[in-house]
Amino acid sequence: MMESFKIIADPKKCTGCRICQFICSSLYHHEFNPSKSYIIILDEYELSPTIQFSDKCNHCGQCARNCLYGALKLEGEGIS
Amino acid sequence: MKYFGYTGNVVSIDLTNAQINLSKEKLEDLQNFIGGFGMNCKLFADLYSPNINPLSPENPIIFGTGPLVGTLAPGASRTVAISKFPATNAIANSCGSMSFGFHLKQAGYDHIIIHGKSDEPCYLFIHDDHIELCDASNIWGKDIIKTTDILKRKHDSSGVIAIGQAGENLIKSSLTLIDKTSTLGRGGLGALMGFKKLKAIIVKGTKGISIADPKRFNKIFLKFKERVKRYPQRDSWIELGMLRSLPIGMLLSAKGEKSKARQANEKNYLKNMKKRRIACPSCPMADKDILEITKPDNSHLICYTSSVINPLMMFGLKGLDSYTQVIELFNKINSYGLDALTINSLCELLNQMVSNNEIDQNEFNIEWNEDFKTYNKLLELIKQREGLGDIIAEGWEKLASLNNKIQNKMTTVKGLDIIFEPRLLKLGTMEFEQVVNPKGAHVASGGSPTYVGAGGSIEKMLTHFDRMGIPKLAHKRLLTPPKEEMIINVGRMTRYSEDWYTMLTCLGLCARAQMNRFYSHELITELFNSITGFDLSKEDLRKAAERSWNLSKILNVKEGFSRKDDKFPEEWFNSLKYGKNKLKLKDFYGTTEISKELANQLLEDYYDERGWDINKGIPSHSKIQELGLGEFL
Ligand code: SF4
Ligand code: SF4
Ligand code: SF4
Repeated sequence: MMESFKIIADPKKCTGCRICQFICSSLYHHEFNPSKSYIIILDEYELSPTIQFSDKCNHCGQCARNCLYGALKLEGEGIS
Repeated sequence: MKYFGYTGNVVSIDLTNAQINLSKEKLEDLQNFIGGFGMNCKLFADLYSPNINPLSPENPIIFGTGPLVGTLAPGASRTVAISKFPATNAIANSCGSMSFGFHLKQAGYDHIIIHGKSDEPCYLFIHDDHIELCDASNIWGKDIIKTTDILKRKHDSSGVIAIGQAGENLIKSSLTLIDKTSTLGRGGLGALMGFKKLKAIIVKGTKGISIADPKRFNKIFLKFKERVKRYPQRDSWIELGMLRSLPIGMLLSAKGEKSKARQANEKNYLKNMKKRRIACPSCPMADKDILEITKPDNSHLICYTSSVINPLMMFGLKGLDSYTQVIELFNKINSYGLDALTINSLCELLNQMVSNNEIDQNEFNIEWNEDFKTYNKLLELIKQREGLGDIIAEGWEKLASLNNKIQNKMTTVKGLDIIFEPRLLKLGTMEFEQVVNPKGAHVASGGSPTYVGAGGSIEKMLTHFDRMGIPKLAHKRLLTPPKEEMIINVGRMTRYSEDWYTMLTCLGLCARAQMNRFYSHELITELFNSITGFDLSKEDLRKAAERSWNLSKILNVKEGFSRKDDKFPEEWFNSLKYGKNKLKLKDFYGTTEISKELANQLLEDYYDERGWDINKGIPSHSKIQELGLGEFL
């Protein structure tokens, strides 16, 4: 059984570091490839980035656990 | 053959005939000459012919990244560019950050080699296997910010290196910006691209990077992450960025500039300048700044910079009274693709000479006043190469030929102006490095305890020696200065600081103090091996860095550089007026005044520690043999 979380994104805190994307793509595609990550960071280093999740995201929460800037937070715990 | 970490691919583009070639790197080379710094040197040396004009089709530009770039390795974001630079005629690697290296690796390439020269303005677009030279006529003449915005809008998420008007007009001190933010190529990379009519390179990639040993890597990463999270000063680093390491307000205060000091302090930065903190890909210690200011006419200005300290450093200029003027001026310099450090030194020198009546204003063709308006006017003249601007565009030597008093006052080494003033900051490795760096006055290779804030104690110094992998046998020599009270021998220590910086740059890791402090020789070797699958020892890695440094030196020896060019600027031996104080050139601990004799001794100690010929200041035959560089002689 995999734990599943709601992830709250706060783009204001996001620095565009892509650590979340490296983590997600390495977990599910065994390579560092942000273009295959299920969390999508749209950031061309302008005033604010956009954070989205693709349908394939299973809410495992690993991206949020590795975000070091507080831009992704896990809320509550569900069972899937 | 499977490559890990590295992509193994080099793409060459000949702009003269629009030919594109792909080649593979040899696995053996990738261990002997590593990544952005090392393979750049090797690829350049393979193509090299001596004494060509930097601004000629025969002078290639090579962009490279390291094996760790494009992965989760923390702070692995470097892009390195090598060429023969027009400001100095030296062959050198230049280094920048942001997302270009990341995108290049993701697109499947370690290096790009640019040959030849295009007849018409063009830009290079790379998207995975798609490589295209595109028409740049609609962006030629535009500044870097607009150029980058247009290209990113057209091609979507990507890494962009672009030049501004300064590069197009072949200004010798022009540089490029990566993603509008990080400078790359001090000393004329802008002009090199401008000469080739190459307005920009834009790259995006979706291929991904596989690494050799994910399990081992994950272990290293988890540990690293915990250390970063536990670092008590992390929050303040993220909040203040580089302002934390160089409190400009305090420096201005010491100069007696109270109002400027207040404006440059942390409080005003947070309230009236800072808009957003951004990070290079994979960096947990973000320090890049997007600033937003409200100008006196109530309009807003957005300014992108590697760090807020870059514009604030210009506050030292007389006649700039408010932080909004400083940021506006800096933003213009940046957008045109000029070098803020060079412009700053230039304005300071002209201010000083005019106020001492040492120069005739008629020689300038502009009325020189110490004010915002004059500085702005100067930028326009340089950008358009008019009058004084045209002379400045040709570099410091040309300016010196106007008036021999200028020559004596210039603080330049090999034609490049210094970045760190040792009379103010004392002679640490960063300051000393400016004298010996093959590129000219450059500091990047000075990462060391005198940079990362070891404080004064020998115990702390020794911890850093171990962290940087300085061989135990060398410790005693590093602690044996020409005069006992100096405590450290900065000449000898600079050699190992260069090794350390070179290792980081080879791999693609950031050398800034707040990242640097987390790395050790052991850790970066582990990262390299787990990512590439190679099995290098720590010593192999250090040797590879030393080999690359020596190779770049050998190329410069062929250009005629030697000990005569590693010259402490004359002006350093005079005192520097700073507020009410007169500052002298002193050693790192401030105990001893550095005379010319002592300076020479430190130089000789540096060459000796490098295993070089002390009289000539160049790699000795035995060093060249030891490093297996005979074929490049
Ligand atoms: S890890 Fe956090 S800060 Fe970094 S890109 Fe992802 S959401 Fe943004
Ligand atoms: S929650 Fe898991 S699957 Fe979803 S984006 Fe984050 S790491 Fe990927
Ligand atoms: S510390 Fe700054 S320059 Fe270095 S990787 Fe992080 S954001 Fe980039």
